[in-house]
Amino acid sequence: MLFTRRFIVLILFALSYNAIANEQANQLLQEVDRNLQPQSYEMYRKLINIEPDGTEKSFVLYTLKKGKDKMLALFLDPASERGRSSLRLGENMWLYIPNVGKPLRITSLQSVVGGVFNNSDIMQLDYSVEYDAQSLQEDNEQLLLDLKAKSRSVAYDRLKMWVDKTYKVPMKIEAYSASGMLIKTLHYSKIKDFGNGYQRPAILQTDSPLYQGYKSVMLFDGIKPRELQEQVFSLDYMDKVGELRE
Amino acid sequence: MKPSTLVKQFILMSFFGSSISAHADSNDFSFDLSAYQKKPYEISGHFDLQASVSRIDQNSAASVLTYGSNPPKSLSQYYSELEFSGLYRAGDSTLNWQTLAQLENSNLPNLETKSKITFQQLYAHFSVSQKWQIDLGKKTVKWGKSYAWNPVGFIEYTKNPEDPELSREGFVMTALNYQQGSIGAWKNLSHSLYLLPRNRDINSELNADSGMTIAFKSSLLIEQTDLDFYLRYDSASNASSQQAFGFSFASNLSSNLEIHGDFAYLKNADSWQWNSNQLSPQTQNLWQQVIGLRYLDQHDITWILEWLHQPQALASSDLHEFNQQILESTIPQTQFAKTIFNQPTALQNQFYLKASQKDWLGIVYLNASLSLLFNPSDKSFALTPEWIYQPAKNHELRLRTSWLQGQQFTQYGEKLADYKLDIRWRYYY
Repeated sequence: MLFTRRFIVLILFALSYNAIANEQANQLLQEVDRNLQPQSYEMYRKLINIEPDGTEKSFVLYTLKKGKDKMLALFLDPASERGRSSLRLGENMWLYIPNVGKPLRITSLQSVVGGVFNNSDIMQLDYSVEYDAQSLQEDNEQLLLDLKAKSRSVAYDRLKMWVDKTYKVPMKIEAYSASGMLIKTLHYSKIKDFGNGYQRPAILQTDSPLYQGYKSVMLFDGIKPRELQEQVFSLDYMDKVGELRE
Repeated sequence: MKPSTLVKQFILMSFFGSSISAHADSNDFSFDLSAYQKKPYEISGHFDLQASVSRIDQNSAASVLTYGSNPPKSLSQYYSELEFSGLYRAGDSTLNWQTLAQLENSNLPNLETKSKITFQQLYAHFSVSQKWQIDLGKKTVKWGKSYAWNPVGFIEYTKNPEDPELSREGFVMTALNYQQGSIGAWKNLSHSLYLLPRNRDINSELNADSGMTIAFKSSLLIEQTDLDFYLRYDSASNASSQQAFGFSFASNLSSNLEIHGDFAYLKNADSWQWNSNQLSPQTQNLWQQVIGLRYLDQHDITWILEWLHQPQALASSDLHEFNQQILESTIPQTQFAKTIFNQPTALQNQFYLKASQKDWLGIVYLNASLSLLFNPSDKSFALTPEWIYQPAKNHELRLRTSWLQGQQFTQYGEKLADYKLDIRWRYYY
């Protein structure tokens, strides 16, 4: 009888310890999200695809986000992609192409442009919206978070995120498929003061074993808090996103 | 080095020479934000050079109607197109335009060079607030969820399924848009009202009678389903005022499968009837629908499958008789009748299938697709493989071939050409 009681206490202790550890990991993940960008913001990004022979192709995106799950992104450059926009509302995603002239509902896994970046990279919501932190440990001078996707619609089933201890921002992320295959590695660098209390990496470099020799670089600029009406995140607004720039 | 990289370098060297190598050497990750912020005006567009060669089916009904008893073996055509678009900002309002200048020539001696310039769109946009928007002028409005057809396109030109992304001219209108927002589970509610005056010079393609076309659209999102509702009412001087009602939906069944549909009911619509061996106009009520799927498979191939069904439209057997009469010269038929039968939405049943893949064969920026238009009644089809490659910034090369095949008197078996090769260079600015 005494043995059974001790056993139950031990199990409860293990479970509660695990729950507290998970809670700490998820709190850190939320802090990472808060440090990367405001909950509602506008931002400019430049995506550069670098091919094995050194040829570069760059894209410039203007992005708006509201709350946890509303996001709009507009291609400003090159001219061949200009006017193309993507809207994400939670798990709903649409693509507007000027030639087609109307928004088309797309699947979340669909690619918007060729190259290493896919739709999920361009239209990514806060990490804590799409992932649960399952463990937190120290790894050299950084904190290592193990993240599991909350649903199957998320592009990467598992992430390993190395977090800078001082700035509490990610410095390296490994993205894995459900089968455990490494899909891509993201390297954040050049921590910069964007104003409004945001000190975060300005450069994200990506390489993928699926695209041997190819690299992608994402530069961040013009990140600032912006309050927008809900109506902006609608299909009718997808051809007018550019007018929201200040 | 990968074969795909070698192929790419060869194409780059062939078409763009040394300008690419200088581009490749630059490696500064600079980002000049000011270049992308809002300016008083924006200019954009493209310039095309296009050449196509068609192998004429000299025994087809279309070639007999077009060239009589002496059709050519082949037809070479050359096109050039300049699209000049832009907008001018004044406060929260904009003046928007899209012009298209086109030049066409062919190898046939009796055909003259054709040229035309059109304002596809020219309208003023007034943003009263983030909820209220007004458009005034000539504007292209595109309704529906289908890719290849637009049965609910009540105030737009008919889409050509052989090239669904082709630019289409707009109509002159006043459009009022209201973004209502969310009511409980109904998200993104929006309503648009359109007023389109009609007379002999303006919007006569909508309805030959003078009057006013009033159209209305409401949209909303429920969970993972888009819903759109459409209305059109044509006031007319005579008794036959036309009305149309429509409904569209699109929904994600899973993270890689989408389903969509467009349904339209047209009351007192102008249509055509094949009767007593001739085509005659008539007014009747029509039902038109498109049901489709969009699927992304594990090889990153996007599949689009759509079925157009319109039970009151012309039957394949009507077209069969029409083609037979032309070829057997029993009753003379006209180019006009051919135009009606050739319309992309003329017949009762059509299937459209498209498979497309980005970065085809591992070559980045090479998109490959294969499209199939299939008539299930007569088993004829048009098969179109297409490759689009962007060898350098803002340059695009497109190679497209088409095979049109079918038994005698069938829809695609009696087209003008049975094989077509088309190459286009496009520069975006």
